[in-house]
Amino acid sequence: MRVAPCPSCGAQVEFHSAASVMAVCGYCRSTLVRRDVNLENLGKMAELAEDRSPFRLRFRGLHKTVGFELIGRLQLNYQGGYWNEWYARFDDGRLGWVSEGSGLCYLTFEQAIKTQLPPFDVYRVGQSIRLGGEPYTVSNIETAHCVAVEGELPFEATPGFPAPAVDLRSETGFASLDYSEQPPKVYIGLALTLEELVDPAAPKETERPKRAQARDFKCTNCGAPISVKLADTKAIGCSHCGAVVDPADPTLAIVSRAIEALRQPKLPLGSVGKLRGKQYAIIGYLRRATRIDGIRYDWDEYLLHSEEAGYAWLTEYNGHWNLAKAVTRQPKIMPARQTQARFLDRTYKHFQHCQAEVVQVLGEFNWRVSIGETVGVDDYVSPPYLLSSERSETELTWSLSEYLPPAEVEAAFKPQVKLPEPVGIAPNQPRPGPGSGRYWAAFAAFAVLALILQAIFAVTAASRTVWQGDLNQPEGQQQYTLSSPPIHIEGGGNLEIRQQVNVDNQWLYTDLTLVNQTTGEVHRLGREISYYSGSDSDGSWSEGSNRDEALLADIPAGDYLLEVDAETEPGKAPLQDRIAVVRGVPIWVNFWVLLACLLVPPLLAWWRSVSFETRRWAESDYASSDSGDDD
Amino acid sequence: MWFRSYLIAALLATGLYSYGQYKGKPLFGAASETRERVGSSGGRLYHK
Repeated sequence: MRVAPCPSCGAQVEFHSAASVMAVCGYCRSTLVRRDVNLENLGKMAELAEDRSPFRLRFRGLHKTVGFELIGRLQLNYQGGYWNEWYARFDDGRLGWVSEGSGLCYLTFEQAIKTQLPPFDVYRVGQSIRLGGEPYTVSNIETAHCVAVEGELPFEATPGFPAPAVDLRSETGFASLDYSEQPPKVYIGLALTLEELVDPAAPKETERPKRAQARDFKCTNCGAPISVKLADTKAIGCSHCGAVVDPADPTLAIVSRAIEALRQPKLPLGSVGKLRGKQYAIIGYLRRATRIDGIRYDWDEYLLHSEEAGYAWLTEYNGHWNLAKAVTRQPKIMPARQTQARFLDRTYKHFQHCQAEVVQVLGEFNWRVSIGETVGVDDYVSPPYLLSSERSETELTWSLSEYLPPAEVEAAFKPQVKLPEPVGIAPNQPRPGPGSGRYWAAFAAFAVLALILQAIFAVTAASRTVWQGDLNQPEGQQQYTLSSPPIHIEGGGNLEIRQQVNVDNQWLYTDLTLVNQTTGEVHRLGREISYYSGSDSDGSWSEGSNRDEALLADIPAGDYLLEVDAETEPGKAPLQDRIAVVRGVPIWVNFWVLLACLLVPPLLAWWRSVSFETRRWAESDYASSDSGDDD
Repeated sequence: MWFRSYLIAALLATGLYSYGQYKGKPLFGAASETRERVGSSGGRLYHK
């Protein structure tokens, strides 16, 4: 660290970094620029605007395992309010920048890249560019102006000096292109939450500052009392007249006025509740609307604030609730199919695009929201998650929502009026019950088990012919009989009596009697064997068969007699009936019946799933397309 | 709950199937027969 006396007041001015070229005296606010070994006084620096940044000079933070200290601050003013770029000196010697906005922090380091950058006015929000070989998407285009400087900076900055900048997001990082110099400077880094930069071991005097006290004032439009509770509130909607006021403006300028009658939020502002493990307070309420095919659709958005988790959104449409948070990474739109996005190892399907207009504002907001503000919204779904992009001319932001059962919202915030029952199916509403995938997996397991069992039964089946004989029709007799010798049958199981007869355009009826000689049990059955064939105007035809199999189940072991009484029609050639008695015939019908029964529940689950998805996608931009099954 | 019921029903059905196969009893396709007990010696003299 280098120390030099202030040429104006004599106070010690510290340069913590050798790269710093200017510093502002902490006592007299003289702007001092290093010229070789001397300090040149450029005059008094303007006062910093009160922007209630969560950081302050000498803030000590921690990124991963390396500590850092904020040694300078460049305060900028843009359309949406104030923006700070904090100059950070890391303990390992690196010099970086920390900024904050929309509940996120950005940590970047200047890098020299070989990419030739286009002029500033060529950029468009959502445009894809490559930076050092990495793909980025333009997320913000802004020309801010320097308001004031505090501490030290590595370049000269005076109030009013313009700072055109382009912010970029990638799947893993963040980058900023500073066009205040030519060639533009490139800063590459990460988007992080504030908690990820706080050093829990930092001394108390350099900890994150406490939130500002609540400020009370009167609405510029109607005079009703308004109270601002949060430090970084950039707009507040009057609950009496609906006007939106800028609390940071010295004159409390009206940002916008109500355009329709105010509707009271279902969850009152100020309600406090624990949602997904975090304590949240409802600080703002926003009503947005879109028009599709001439029909207006409204939904509610509640801005939540948590001291531990920052900002989040609770959205409600048709009784369906979502908890949404801004994401630090740029989702990847699949180049092959623009209707899909990848984010954190999950694929999201594009659901719909709409123009969302703010129609009512109540309470506090951490950006300068105004009534009538319109953004293009694209929703991508992967239940229970919903990935949304909101695009204006200057900014592209992404948020990730998770579907919440209404009962969970009710339990968290305990509204006095019961929340409405959900109507229809929300884009990211999870399907009730397990998906059909689990049923199919279980079916596959049981089918394999059944196949193995069937193979075992088929292989081990005896299929042994225990007797075989011929029943020949005596010449001229229509009725004749056959008695088998005693048949010894072993083991248990079934018995099949097979017949093969030379019937040709005739029938044979056989009355089969199987008698157990030991127990006297008699099994009687009648079988008809017939085969007819011929030809007519449609061609040749045939029906019937000259074979027959009769299966008798559960025939115990023992000695049996088989008696066959046969009868046929007269005037035909004598019949020869070859009869075989077979023990232990493998059965396939039971296997197929089992598979059919096992198949019913997966089919029902699949049908239910398809039906649910069809109803879900009926509300999308792809109502006529096949939604498919995600399982 | 439905999935668990399916698993239990599938197990029972597989068990029933195995028993049927073991006893050689088809669910469909068995011959239509009548069973009666006619005496210890059996034979056509008892029922003809």
